[in-house]
Amino acid sequence: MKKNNVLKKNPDMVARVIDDETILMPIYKTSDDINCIYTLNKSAAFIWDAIDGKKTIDQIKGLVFKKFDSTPGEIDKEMAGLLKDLKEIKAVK
Amino acid sequence: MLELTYRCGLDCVHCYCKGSEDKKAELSVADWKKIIEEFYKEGAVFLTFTGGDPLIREDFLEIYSYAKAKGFLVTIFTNGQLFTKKIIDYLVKSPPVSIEITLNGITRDTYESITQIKGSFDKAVEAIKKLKENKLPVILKSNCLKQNKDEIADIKRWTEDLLGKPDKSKRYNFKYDPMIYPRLDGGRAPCEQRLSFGEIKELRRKDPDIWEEYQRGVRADFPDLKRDRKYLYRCNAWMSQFFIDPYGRLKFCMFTQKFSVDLKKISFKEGFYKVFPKVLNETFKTDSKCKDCELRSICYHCPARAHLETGDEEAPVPYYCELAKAMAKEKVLIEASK
Repeated sequence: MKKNNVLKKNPDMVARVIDDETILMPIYKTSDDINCIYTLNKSAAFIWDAIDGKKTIDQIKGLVFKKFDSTPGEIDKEMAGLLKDLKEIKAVK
Repeated sequence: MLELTYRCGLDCVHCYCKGSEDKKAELSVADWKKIIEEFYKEGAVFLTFTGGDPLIREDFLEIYSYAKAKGFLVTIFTNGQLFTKKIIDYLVKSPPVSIEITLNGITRDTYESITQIKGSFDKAVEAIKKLKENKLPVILKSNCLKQNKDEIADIKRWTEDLLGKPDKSKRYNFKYDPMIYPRLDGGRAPCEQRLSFGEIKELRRKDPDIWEEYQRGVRADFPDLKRDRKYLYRCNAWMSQFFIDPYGRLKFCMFTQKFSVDLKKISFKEGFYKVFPKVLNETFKTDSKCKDCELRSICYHCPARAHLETGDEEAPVPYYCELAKAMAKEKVLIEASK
């Protein structure tokens, strides 16, 4: 995924914060697995919040670097994995 | 649990809602949306639409889609009579977690002797098959009654033939309930359908899975009472779920109006956090034999059910005593045979 790409959330994916845990729930069917909900860990939830249709991937990476005690390499790896998953479940485009 | 209506297209002999229907007094869509918004803010995640038959409301999809858009994990309890193409198409697009359909017979005669509506069996079966074709998550369930006690195992088998047998990776798709309750308005007609302990045992024996599960239950130790014996309510009332009736009363239990509040006058938050907890302080005020009964932890008796049965929360209910004593006897026999 290119650094200057801008991601937009799918408005049909509802994020709810329950007891400090962020859960993504699709309003409409997004996969064959009918009962799927997705839980995000702290850093993934931070990234999800940062996706606003304006910030580039690189800008979000910068925010994550400031917030969490991780190396750029670790952040690259986590973001790549998360964004791949979010695309797969059609949570972002 | 949102009881959208007590109305229903069927006329089941054991129904506890019968006699409590009042279409004019039901909450409007706007009322339901406001209430859903209130408990959404309090962090509720699971929501069940039940009735009566919730699908009898013409505005069902409007309420359903509102809850889905809020991110609730929605379950629908229904009799399966009113699945129009419009409803199925919508559910395919925006599916619930599960659709639980009551199927109280696997032959037309039995089913319709319970629902008292001609043609209802074919409608239910057709709906179940259509939901399955559309890959919607169906669970079938049966109440155990005089009329269908010999068909429970067959209903389960039919369910598994159609929907598949559950394995470790797949949750159950059939459940049954041997308990029948009086009507919410106090009517006792449903109680005529109740089975004896022996009849319930016999119907369990007809299916190896049900029988095995039952045997496991009999062999297990008596569960501990979670709270001191002096307390009246020993269930998880209010802590794990709540009920809202068609007229806007928030209840901690479907069977009692005690500590219920009118959500048209009081907020969900106030009812849930300030009124409901009062139930925890309720203690026995009489020397009811239930208080110190050693079978209390395996007995169906609870204050709400006792009130519904007898008008007195603390009064023993002979039917529950009979079931608990028979269960205890089974345990003793099994212990002796070890």
